[in-house]
Formats: sequence, structure tokens, C-alpha cells
Amino acid sequence: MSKRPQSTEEEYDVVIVGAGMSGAIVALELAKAGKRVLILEAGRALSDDEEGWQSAVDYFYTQVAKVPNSPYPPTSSAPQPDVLQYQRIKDGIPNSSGYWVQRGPQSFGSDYTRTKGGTTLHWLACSLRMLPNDFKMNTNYGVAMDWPIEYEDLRPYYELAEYEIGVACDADAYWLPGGDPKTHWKGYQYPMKAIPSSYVAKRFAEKAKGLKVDVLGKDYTIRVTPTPQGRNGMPNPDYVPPAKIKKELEEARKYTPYKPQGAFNDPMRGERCQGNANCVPICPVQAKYSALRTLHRAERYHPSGGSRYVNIKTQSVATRIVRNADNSRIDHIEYLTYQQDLGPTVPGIAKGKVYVIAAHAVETAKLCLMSGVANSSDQMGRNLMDHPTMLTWGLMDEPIWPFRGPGQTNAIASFRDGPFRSDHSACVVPIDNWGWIWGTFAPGSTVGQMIGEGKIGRDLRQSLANNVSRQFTLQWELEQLPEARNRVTIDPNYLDALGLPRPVINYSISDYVRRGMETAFNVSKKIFKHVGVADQTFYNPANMGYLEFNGKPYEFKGCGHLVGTHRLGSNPENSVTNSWLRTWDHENLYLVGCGAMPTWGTSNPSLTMAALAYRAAESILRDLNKEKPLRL
Amino acid sequence: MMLLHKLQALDTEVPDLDSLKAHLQVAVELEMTTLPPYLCALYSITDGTNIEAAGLIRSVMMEEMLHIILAANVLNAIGGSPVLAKKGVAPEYPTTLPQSDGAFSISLQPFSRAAITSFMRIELPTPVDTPPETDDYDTIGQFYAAIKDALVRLHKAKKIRFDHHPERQVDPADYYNGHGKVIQVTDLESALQAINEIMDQGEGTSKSIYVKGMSKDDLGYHLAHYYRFWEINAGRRFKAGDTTASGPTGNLLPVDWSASANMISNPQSGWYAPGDPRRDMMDKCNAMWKEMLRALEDGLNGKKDRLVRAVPFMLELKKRAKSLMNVPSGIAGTMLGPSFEWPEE
Repeated sequence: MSKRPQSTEEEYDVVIVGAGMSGAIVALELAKAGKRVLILEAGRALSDDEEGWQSAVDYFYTQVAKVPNSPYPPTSSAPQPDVLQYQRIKDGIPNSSGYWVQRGPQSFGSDYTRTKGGTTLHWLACSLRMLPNDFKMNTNYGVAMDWPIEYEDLRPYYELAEYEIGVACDADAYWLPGGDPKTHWKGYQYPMKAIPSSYVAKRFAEKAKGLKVDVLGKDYTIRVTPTPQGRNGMPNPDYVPPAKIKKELEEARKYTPYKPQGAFNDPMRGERCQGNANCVPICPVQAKYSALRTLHRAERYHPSGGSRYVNIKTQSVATRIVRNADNSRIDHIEYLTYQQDLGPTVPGIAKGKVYVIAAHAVETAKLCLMSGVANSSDQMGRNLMDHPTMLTWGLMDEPIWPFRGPGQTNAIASFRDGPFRSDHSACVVPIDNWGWIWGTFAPGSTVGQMIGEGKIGRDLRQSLANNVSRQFTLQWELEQLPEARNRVTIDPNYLDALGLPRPVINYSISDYVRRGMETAFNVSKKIFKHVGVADQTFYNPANMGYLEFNGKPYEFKGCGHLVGTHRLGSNPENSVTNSWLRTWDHENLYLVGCGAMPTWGTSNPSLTMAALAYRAAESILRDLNKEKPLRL
Repeated sequence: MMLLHKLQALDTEVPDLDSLKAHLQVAVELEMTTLPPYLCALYSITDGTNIEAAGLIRSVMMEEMLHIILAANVLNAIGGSPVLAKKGVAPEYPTTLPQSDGAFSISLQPFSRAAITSFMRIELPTPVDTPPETDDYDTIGQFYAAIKDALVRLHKAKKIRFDHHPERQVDPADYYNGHGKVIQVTDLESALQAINEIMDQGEGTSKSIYVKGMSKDDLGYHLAHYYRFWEINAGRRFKAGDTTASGPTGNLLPVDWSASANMISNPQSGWYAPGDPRRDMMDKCNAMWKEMLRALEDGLNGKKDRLVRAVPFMLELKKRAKSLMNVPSGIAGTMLGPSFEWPEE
């Protein structure tokens, strides 16, 4: 017998579902404006204090397979996908062995984390802006859909996001296809100086200098550029924070161009990257940004000693977004709170004036589909995208000493844009700093192989040192375009422990991406030859992402970038929300997260997501203050 | 020479610029004296245990490092050159520190109640109204008060300038881990601010448990050092409303005194003959200590990039120190530990 749902004691200004980066940013912005916010988080708060963080680090150390969710064990009451349960889909039989049901034809290779802090707990923190052309794919290249806004519209919000995350990069050294950094950035400086390049990237850049490769009849020079990273380095004295932030700091008499934020629970830690080299899945010193920083600031926010403005309820799974009688507004959100894994639940009702779903691309779409909201366009859950990532690897002709520093500090940016995008995927190509671990599970597999060859003792040690020190990988992260068939759906046959639908995923790799792989593979051959890498790339037909194109083998992996399931757009027919992330169907419902992006080029999505969250917060505030809605 | 003797050798009237420079060099050495004992306690804690206590010790240690930088910034501004990497600058242990109720000894020892008690002794607040003495310094507070007095007096007499070596000033880009902030010294006001920061953060006063200018609303370490160690000793946190009289009456702070390495007090490399693997390990640890101090000294004398190099040296020092704590000393079932000796050339 279920209990009658109880309304929470308080009616909030805003109810947010999901305590990840977007939810955190929206909550903090609204709290600063004096609004009261409730965040419902389905997962637990396991790493939310010093002891919790340390046990997550320790738990990660004990895991045999180090995957993105290794330090963050799931609860069956709010399950999360586990990449170890993904497998090659054979004969069209869906893989329902994990939380997700994968219908294929290809397996979706990426995951997310259901916990307080969200997927920022395991992200690599690469914080690339989208390129101006990424917003106009249809106009420029005749593919996909244009955004209703342009790069220049988003620029001020990018600056807010880069302040909050704390992005380290050198704008003057940052190379963009078709753009001179000086004119592109217009004097903008990042909050912190660039994280030093890995030795791997330095040597690669020196060896590749001046190399040109031909793609569809046009020459592209190989350009290695620093990767903007959301991890602490040296503050940049030339940085000027956005005017709004500057004003806040001056009012609090705390103005300094940039003061890096330390660990969420200890300001004396985490202020500088030490090169621990396991950014994914956990930075032991918390030099890497996680949403816990923003969440803790939001939770502490209580001007002049009054009561706090943001209340976070963890272990509270939203189960239904309930509309009012005429369907134009959301009336409340129902949720279930559990005390322990698979323990009994207590139903609750959360009421606010505005509702924000910020539960990550798949969960947001799932919740809306379960609730039958915001889907008059039939776009809800569709256009699921990732950056299918093809690896090429080999042995460099000299030691390059991988595994020192962050996973990537630099990338080849030459193929992020160009006329070829009418034909095939653009790509960004990080210079991987972690040897062959992603492609072959080296160095573990290298040890196994050498023992298999009969090597022991000193011979084994020397052979390993000689081999592992030269392991080199390029990561070809390919742009994927929106396709209606790549989607999240629900199916009453597949339910989780609370009786809620599990996400059902349909995913396929189009010829646009396959042509991108083909090109990338050929370019890789030329680069390897030029820089002195003996190619060792091998795609095993048994592997999950193995596929063939024009008779040749390729393989892709998930990049952890889940995008597109509730895209914004110019009208209610082609999209779920407007560019302020308000749903076309319900005037007080916002969907915030990576799912909002209709296209996204080769940028890692979180920075753009954060920028959009600032935009949404601005619009929500106008709604609450009954100001005229913003256009665009 | 022990620190106490260095202090006694100073002229408490600080008659001139040279005497002020000597005072500031001793200030650098004084702050350095506390690092090895705090590091020993911190590194000896068994991984995954005493998490809150370790955080508190670490926080104090981080602030002591900030104090070295602040003293160096003042010394550089008035035309001196801070010395860190030289035999005798860092003390050998056990050593002696002055305090208002008499000099006392500091040892290198593992995390224990005895260690925390001695840390409280190091950080014991100066009674607020103790004036600078004329013959000897009885307290660290008097010593810093004399420096401030001299800065004002010599500035008034136009005997010092603060514009030497501006390129040597360490700024927040070079150092920023910890509470308090690096103050770049360019004039009398900033010089006094820097010394005040050292005094406020460290000893605090006997009247308030908080670092001056901070309150319970500030995130993190708002308690003066003495009171942080008191929390560990009492196994309780201070809570709002607690005073120096009440002591900590807040949440429990779980302390497991047994969860630390059984390190022998004040180990010496000379106990082991050259060629003994224990000697080798201790020599290597001392070599890294020297390497780190050299990088810091260079960094404080204009070679800013050397400050960055000091970071991996610190991490390597930690690794070598912790390895020693797993090696039996051969004496009464104890383990070895870092000795922080200046290795012979």
C-alpha cells in the first residue's frame, strides 16, 4: 500500500531536478537574486565531504577496470549506466544486461553519473567553446540544423562559465581554424594560464611542425593547440572577470582578477594540478572543477545570516512532472525518497513557480517522456549524439613518457572546421597522454604480452621500459550530426527497481561519420609516418564499436559526451525549447543540459552547457520577476 | 646554532637596517623550524585514518609556508636576500624554541598526543599586552612586534626603502594554496600588513579563538593555529559561541592515536654506517630536502620558475619520508623517519 504523497513544507521559487553542473549554476544564480530553490537529486551524496571524497579515491584504487564510474558505485534505487555492461549488439538482439536497454544497431559507448555533483565528478574538464561555424551547419554546409543564436550571442555566457569552472588556457596561443586568435578573442584572457603541455604533446608538436595533409583537395597544416582545461593552474594577472562577477567581488571586498577555487570542502587543497594523471575518473587533490564546488557555494548562500536559499534533497528520484488542467504550465513534480539501496520509498511533491529539469541528456528526456510533457514536436529523446572516437596508436621512435599530467593538454585543431563538413565529420584530435590504455588496456596488456613471449626478470623490465615509454595515441573525436533515429525511448517492458522506466537507446553511426573515420585513418597514417610512429593500430571485430566501411575495418568508442535529446531551436516544430531553454509547450518548464544542443561541432559539451545554463537562469529570473520575456 | 641562540644573538633594539635584515632572516628560519615536525606528524598518519586531524595539521603547515614567503617578501623589499639552502638555516632536531613560560624542545616525532601537545606549545598565543623586551625575546610575538616597530621607526628616519628587487616579490600567481594571501611588499603599509598576517594567522591572541579579521562564517580554517591543535587534542571541534575559556564543545572529531607509524623520535642518519641501506635511504631523503630548499631559495631570489620546480620535489620528499616510516630502525621495534639534516657536500 503506498502512502499518499506529501507536499514539501515549503513552496519554492524554483524546483530543479538534478544536482550536476547545470542545476548547480542555475541554483546559485537564482540564490544570488534572492530566490528560494529546491534541488531534487536522484543519486546519493557519497563523496560530499572529506571522508567521502577520500573513500571514493580509495575505492577507485581497488577497482580492477578503471572506468569513468569506478569511484562512484551506483544505487539500485537510482541506477546509472555502467560501460562494463555495454557489449557488441549481435543479430539485432537488444542488450538489456545493464541499466540501459541498447537496441543498436551500434552500442552507445558513453555514460553519466547519478550522484550529487553529477558527471563532473568524472569528467576530464576539457572546456572548449564551439566555433562560430558550429552554430550554422545548415547555412554553411547544408547539413543538420542552424542554431537560432550565434556564437556572439553565447560569448558573454561562455565567459561566465569559464569564470565559474576556472578554465586554464592561453588565448593567444589558441589556434582556431579560419581564425586569427587575436581577432577571435578580442583581447580576452582565460582566468588561468595554460596548464603546462605534456612532454608527449610537446615532442609531437615539434615533430609534426610544418606537416600538411590533403583532405578533399585542400591542404591542412597540422596545428597543435592548447586544450582549455577546467583545472587549476596559475592565475592569470591579465584576466578581467565579466562585469557582473567583478561587481559582486567588489561589493564583497574580495576583488582580485582571479582566485582559484580550491576543493569544495577545504580551500587549502586542490588549488593546483599536480599531474596525478587520473583526472578521469577522480582528481585526488580536487584541482579539477566539479559541480560540488558550485553546489556547496549555493548551499552556503545565506545573505546577512538569514536562512539558506538552496535546499538539496538527495536520494529523491523525480517520477513525474505533472501539468495543470490546461496543459500550459507545470503544477508540481512528484518524487520518491529512499533511505537505503532498494529500501522503502516515501513519496513527495515539490512545488515551485518554475521547474528546471537538469538531469543529463538521457534522464531528462526519460523523465519528460514518462510524464508526457514538452513533446508536441516529437523531438523529445531524439537526436542523441556523442563524439564517436576512433583511436590510432603506435610506438614513437623515441621515449615520450606518457602518464605524466592530465589526460590531454593539447590537441590537433586543424580538422575542427573546413569545407569537408558538407561531406564528412569534423574532428578534434587530442594528443593522448595516457599511452595505449584506452586502445589496448596497456600497460597491463603489454606486461601480459611480454610474459607470453617468455620474457622475465631484467629482460622483462627493460623491454617494458623501452615499449611503454614510447606508446603514443591520437584520439580522433568525430562530430556526429542529429538524426531522428538515434534516440532515447521508454518501454513498459523494461523497468528499474522502483518501477520506473529504464532508458531504451537506439543508436547508429551514419555514413557521414564513417567517411570521417576513413579520412581520419588516412590522415593518421601520414602523420605517423612523418613524426616517426610505427603504427600498431588494430581493430578487433569482436569489439563493441567495430564496424566496416568501404571494405575496411574501423572502431569507435564513446567519448562521454551525451548531447541532443531535447534540442533548442527556432520554432516549436523543430525543437523542444527556445534558445533560453524554456519549453515551447509549458511556459514554466525549462530543460537545461547538454541535451539542449542541436549541433555542437567538435567542442566538448560541458562548457557550452554551462553557458546555456547561465542564459536559462537569466530568463528564469525575468519570468519570476514578471519582466518581459527575452527574444531569440 | 639552535633557533633560540639565533634569537638571543639579535639586538632587540633593532638599531639599523642590517639588524632588521638579520631579524627577517631569522623570521624565515623560525617559520621553517616548524615545518619538519608538522611534516613528520602528517606523513606518519596511516592512510585513510585521522582524516580531519590530518587536514588540520596540513592547514597549519600550509600557512607556515605562506609565512616564509611573507617574511621573504619583506626582506627582499628592504634590500636583503633570503637564505634557505645553507647548513644551519634549517635546524637539526631536537631543537629549542622560546616561549613566554620558558624555552622548550621540539622533536621530530610521529602523530601522537605528545606531538600535538608540543605543537600547541609552539603556537601558544602571546598574552596580548606583552611589550617588546629590551634584552631577550621571550616570545615569538615580541620578536615580530620588534620587527614592526623597527619598520616604522627606520622608515620614519628615512633609513629604509621598500623598492628593492620588485621582480622577486612572490605574488598570488606563484603561490596561492591556502588561506590568507600573499602580500606583495612595496611600501611600509604592505610590509606591516605582511607581518600582521603572519602574527594574526599563527598565534592569534589569547583572547579570541579566531584568526583576526575572520569569523565562524568564513569557510575553512578560521581558527588560529593553537586552537586547531586544541581541537585535535580534545577530539572535538569548536562551535559558534565557544571561547578560549570554554575550549571546544562542538562536534566530535574522531582521533585514532594508534593509527600512525611507530617512528622513532629524532632519527639521525649518522646512526648507520655508509653502505647500510638505511643510511642510503635517509641520505636520499635528506638530499631531496636540500633540493627542495634550493629550489625555494632560488625562487625567492628572482628565479620564479624554480618555485614551480619545488612542487615535484615536495611530492618526492613526501614519498621518500613515508618510505622511511616502513623501515625498521633496529631500535626497540621502531621505524625510521625523515631526519631533515643538511647533507654534507
